[in-house]
Amino acid sequence: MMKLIGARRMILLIALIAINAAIICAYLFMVEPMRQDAELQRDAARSEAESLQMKIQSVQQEVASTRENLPKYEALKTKGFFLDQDRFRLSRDLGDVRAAAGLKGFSYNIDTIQKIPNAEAEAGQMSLINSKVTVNNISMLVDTELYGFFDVLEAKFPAHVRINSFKIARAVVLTEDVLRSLSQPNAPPVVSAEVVFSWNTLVPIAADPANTTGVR
Amino acid sequence: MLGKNQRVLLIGGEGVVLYSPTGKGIEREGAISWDVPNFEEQLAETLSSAHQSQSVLVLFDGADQTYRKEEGIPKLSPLDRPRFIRRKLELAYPAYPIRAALEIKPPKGARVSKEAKKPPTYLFVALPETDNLDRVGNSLFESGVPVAGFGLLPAESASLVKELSTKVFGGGAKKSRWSIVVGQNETGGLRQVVIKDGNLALTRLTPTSEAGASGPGWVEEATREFRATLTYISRFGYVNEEGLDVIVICGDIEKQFFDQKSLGVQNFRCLNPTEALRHIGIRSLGREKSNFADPVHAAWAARKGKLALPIKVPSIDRVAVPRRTARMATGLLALTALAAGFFCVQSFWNYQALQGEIVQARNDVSLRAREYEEESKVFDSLPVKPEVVRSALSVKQMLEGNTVKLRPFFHRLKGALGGDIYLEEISFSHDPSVALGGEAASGGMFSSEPQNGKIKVNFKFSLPEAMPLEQKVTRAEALAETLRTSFPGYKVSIVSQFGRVERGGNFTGTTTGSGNVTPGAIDLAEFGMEGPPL
Repeated sequence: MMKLIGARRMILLIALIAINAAIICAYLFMVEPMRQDAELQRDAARSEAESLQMKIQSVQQEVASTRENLPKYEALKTKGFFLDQDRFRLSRDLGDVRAAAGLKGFSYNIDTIQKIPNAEAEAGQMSLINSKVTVNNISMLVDTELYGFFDVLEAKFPAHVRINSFKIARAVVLTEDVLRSLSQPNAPPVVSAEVVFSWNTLVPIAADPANTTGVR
Repeated sequence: MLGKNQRVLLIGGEGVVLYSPTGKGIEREGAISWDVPNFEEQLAETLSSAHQSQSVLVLFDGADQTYRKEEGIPKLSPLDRPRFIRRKLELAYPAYPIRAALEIKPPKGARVSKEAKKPPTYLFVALPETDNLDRVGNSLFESGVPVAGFGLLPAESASLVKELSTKVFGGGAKKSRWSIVVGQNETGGLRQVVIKDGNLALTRLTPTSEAGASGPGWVEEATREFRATLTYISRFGYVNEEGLDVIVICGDIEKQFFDQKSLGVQNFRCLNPTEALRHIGIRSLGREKSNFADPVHAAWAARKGKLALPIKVPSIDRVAVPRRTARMATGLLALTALAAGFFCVQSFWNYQALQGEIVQARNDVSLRAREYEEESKVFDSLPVKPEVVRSALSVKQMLEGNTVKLRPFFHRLKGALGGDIYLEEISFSHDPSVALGGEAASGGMFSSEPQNGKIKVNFKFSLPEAMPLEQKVTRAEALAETLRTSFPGYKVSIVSQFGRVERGGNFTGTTTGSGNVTPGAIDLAEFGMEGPPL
């Protein structure tokens, strides 16, 4: 065979086969895997950079949003939206409201604090709590005094107050004797009312009354 | 597979001559007679001399080749035709092992005419497997040179005749259909190649006579043989009107002895080898006095891209085929190596470019990580966690939505009641939405209305005592209509009518002439309202 095709040709053929094999092996087992690996590394780095960029944007948006809403939050805090609904404080606040509304007096009953399940509150690691307050035996000359009471309640009482119900009824039939007695200190009430309202506040989950014991 | 500028080994009756193309034209490398005792070694040595890498085309011009024009070959499919031709060749030349066929193309002008409709005509050629061919094959084997192929000089030089005829006599008004080139071979014999319409029509090789291969004697001999050829072609249909171009390749000395008048042809020209080579585009000096036409044939064959009629000769093919295959394999492998190398290099460049991109991407990651760290510090420095702020505002908004503004409702109610109605009792309740633990959901999940619950208002009222019951009832009914108009979307119902009467129900009373009034009793009506907060 060597003689037939020539020694030089044979050597050239073998050399070319070897070169081909070497190049193909280098391509398949060295260069191409290196290239693929580098491609993966580049993609991973780009993906990481994009992920970081999204995080940065998210943080920037959070910060901007928080800075914008912080005054509103502080206002709520000042208004008592994060109070733990201490009963003694509640009694004092009711007294203040009565005095501000110019009412003679009333009795009240405060139910046990209830937790209202709320996903939005839980998202901020908070609990929405509620105290139901029943105010009765409100004595008035005219029913408009009650609406004044509602205004004062909203303005003076810690946030957030929600009127559940109320009832106003004429206590006596207006006669000449009744009208004459209105100027007396112990005049009978002309209108009586009963109001039920809810006081809702947000407290940290750790301060949730359901998680603690003791008297409030 | 022929490349241009290959070496040409001319084989004749007296020996072989090797020509090699050079920058200056064509070079005669050597001539060896069959009678040389160590012919094979000498030829192998000559072949493996200076131009060993160039392939060698073997051009045979011995006396033992035979030609035959075969007509009446039916038109067959491209698949069937080669088998049919092979069979025909076997029948035509049963004693000759080397056979080949060449289709004779009709003249260009007649292709679309009746000539084209004729069945194709073939030129059959055959030659015996001689010892001389074996000797040449052995020399080729020993020399190691690549072999381009094996052809017959008349078949390959038919195009040379056409070319020379066109170049020498092309300017004439009428183009001749017949052309002939006459030339003395160094390898022995006077070769005459006759073409008609560009196709080989006749070829003759006559041995060199005692007059020699040059000189006046050779001219006489050549003239005699040409006349004989004229006789032959007359039998094949040649007439003077068709025209005949005659070109004799000879030396300048021999030129002087040719007498055109005695030849009886119009177009006659003697060319020395240098002139003939110049006509086919090859510069070659110093051959003016040579009387041999071999270099012209060899140069023409060397310049052609491919053989007109390639012949398979076993003794040559046993060397040519493996070497040709090896050359092809070499070329293929070289191309593969180039392609693979290209891909490899391209992939590596790609890899290097990717490395740059990786560095850039990692820098980008570092940059953004630092930026994220700084933003996180700002985030951490906030006095309140964003989720707490978001949560508080969201809950507050929900509570606001579920808190009824009382003033708008009661203001509208007061307007609807009018001045004649005295409220005795009023109760109000608000059932919040599900979000605040209530049962009322005003809009539902897919409603666009705010989900802020539902309110219920009940009130009792009286009218002036002197008013007759019927008027009171009418007034109460009118009030109900007013309320429905003032509170669209509200359900307004008369819970209890004055005197507890119904227009279509049971009715009890006394008639005194002063109306249906029961003195001393407070007559009240009770209304109920239900709907979404204003």
